[in-house]
Amino acid sequence: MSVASRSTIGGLFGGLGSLATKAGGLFGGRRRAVASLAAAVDAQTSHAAHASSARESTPGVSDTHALIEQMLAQGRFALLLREQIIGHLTRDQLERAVVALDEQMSLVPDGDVLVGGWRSEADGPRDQLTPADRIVPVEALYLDRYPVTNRQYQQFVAAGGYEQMALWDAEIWPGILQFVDRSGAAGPRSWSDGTLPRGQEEHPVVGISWYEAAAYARWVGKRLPTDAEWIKAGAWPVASAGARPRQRRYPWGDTMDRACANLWGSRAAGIVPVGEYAAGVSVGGVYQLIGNVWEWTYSDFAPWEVAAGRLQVEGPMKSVRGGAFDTYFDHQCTCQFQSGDSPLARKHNIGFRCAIGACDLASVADNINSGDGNRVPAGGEACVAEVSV
Amino acid sequence: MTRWATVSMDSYRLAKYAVQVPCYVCESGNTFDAELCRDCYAPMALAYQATAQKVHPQMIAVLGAAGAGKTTYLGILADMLSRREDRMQFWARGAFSVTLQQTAMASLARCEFPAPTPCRPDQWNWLHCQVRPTRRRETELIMPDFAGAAVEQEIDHPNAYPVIRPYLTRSAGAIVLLDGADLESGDQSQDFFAMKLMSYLCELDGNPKKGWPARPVAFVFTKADASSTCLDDPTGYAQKRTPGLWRQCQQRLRRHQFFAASVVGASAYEIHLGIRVSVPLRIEPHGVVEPFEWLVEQVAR
Repeated sequence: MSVASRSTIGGLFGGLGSLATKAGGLFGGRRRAVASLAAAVDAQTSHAAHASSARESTPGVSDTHALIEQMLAQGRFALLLREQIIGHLTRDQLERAVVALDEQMSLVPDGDVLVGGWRSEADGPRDQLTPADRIVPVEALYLDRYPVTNRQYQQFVAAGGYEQMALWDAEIWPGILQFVDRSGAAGPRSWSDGTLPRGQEEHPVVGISWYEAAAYARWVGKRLPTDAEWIKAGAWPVASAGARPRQRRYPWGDTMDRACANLWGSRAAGIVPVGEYAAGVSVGGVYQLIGNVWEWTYSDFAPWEVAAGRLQVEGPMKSVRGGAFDTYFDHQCTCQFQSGDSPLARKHNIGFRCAIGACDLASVADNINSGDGNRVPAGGEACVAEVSV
Repeated sequence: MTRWATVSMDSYRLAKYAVQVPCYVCESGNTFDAELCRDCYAPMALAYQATAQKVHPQMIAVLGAAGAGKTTYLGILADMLSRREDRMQFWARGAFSVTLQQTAMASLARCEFPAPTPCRPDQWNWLHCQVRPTRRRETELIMPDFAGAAVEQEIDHPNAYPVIRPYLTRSAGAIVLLDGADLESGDQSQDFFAMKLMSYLCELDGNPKKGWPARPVAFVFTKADASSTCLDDPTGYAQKRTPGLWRQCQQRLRRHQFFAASVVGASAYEIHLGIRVSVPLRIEPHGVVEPFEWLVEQVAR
């Protein structure tokens, strides 16, 4: 491997390390997660360097190119669109990364969102705020249009995601060995031999714990959405001065329509591919926020009720949102309804989707510099998208 | 020869009282306007329907220890069957048959479990329904929601509750609910309860051709969301976790099967008046209809 090549890859991932530091500042309490991301990138660096050393004859630029191509193929475009990385992409790669971002993720504008208590919908619709309600400001973010599919998760498994300890929270390191499939190989609970069930490539991945979801999200350069972010994407609040934000009960409106979501009593009897039920798409174009599978979020379950002693849980619980194909009551699959489960639970009806803060993505020059090796100037000037609505 | 006489109108009214209407369950005589049997507290509507409409429903016993989830199971079973027609058609007969479904579902919708069934027989809910399984004729069924504590008391002290013994004597089959969460925590009380129940039933009617040894019994591990192994393989789970019941079933019952069911996806606890109460965090029924379908199929044979 040439010195130039090492230098290029080192620069690429060295940039990611500093990115992690910056992101740590942005996310505040999520420093450890971001540090894990940096370590994950380091792991990826050493993995790539090791792979590259086997190809001594390959020019250095090709190594970088190949690595970026591999990451694009794996759907890890969010990593490539970071400020410190974007300068290493060719014009074509950048365009493909931006197209992937646009096709696979939806922009959720910043603004306030009403987050209710865990039982708020069970108590029926209300016009007045209750002590359990919170108005939470949300920064602009990109949210996956679809839940993560078996096919996408297969790439994480095949790339050795379960062995890259840096991707995982340190508290779960001793527990990673128990995240196995039917055959005992690393992978979701319903898989076998580390391989997804045949014919279910485009089904949302289920049978994964919160920790597995978080590790995958880090691997693709994203994170799990918070409760407030998830609600904002679905309920699409409209602010009105001096009053609570006007929010939708469901992404498509305020009335349940079983043609819009895969729930108990819908035409499907089980989990369906992520592209179905297009009628239930949110204002921002996000599919299946309601129904098909519950979705892990980054947040804890009912933190205020638990802290106040009104609710007791056996061990920590993470929040899940949106309902699943077997959710029985209409009011338990609204944007506002919250349920929870142990972060170690690997249920047949809990999946996830990923998010990334808009501020974590680099700007992209309107006039991509094509004069010098087709590279984009590092730290480009224009925005990927206008994020304030 | 014809004789004419003058009879006061009161006699006509009294004549109705003179005719005893037998209770459909215990067969003791009741007046024509009785709402509940004076002996066993079974609803007399069952007897009136049998007399007036020539309807003779079969009896299905839903049994289990206190807290096993009988009310929740019956309530959501009725609700699921009445909301879908793809597997089995279901119609409630009489307003009293909807009360159980209404009460249970109202509680679950509020993220609460139904209140425990009181031990007073006059407060028990009865479900009388008409079902039509796929490719079979419609069947009339009765399924009372006995209090678990009353069932336990009747097993330990026969005839403690006048309705339970005659009902079980005439039942065509049974669904026995066992608390899977208790079993998962290592508690053996469910195994002991089931063994005592099997002994009671076989002593009640041990006829090998028509008694309980020949009647179908569905054993259902409830709250199976607590254990994925239970949901995946209830028969294997029974062999490991309820070995006493397993052996009794092999020796005594010719037609039995093990099932696993759950109604909630996860649960937590709330403190109500200083008491820790389990609350469901979401409702997602699994394996609820299958035991009932199997039993109806077996009873129809």
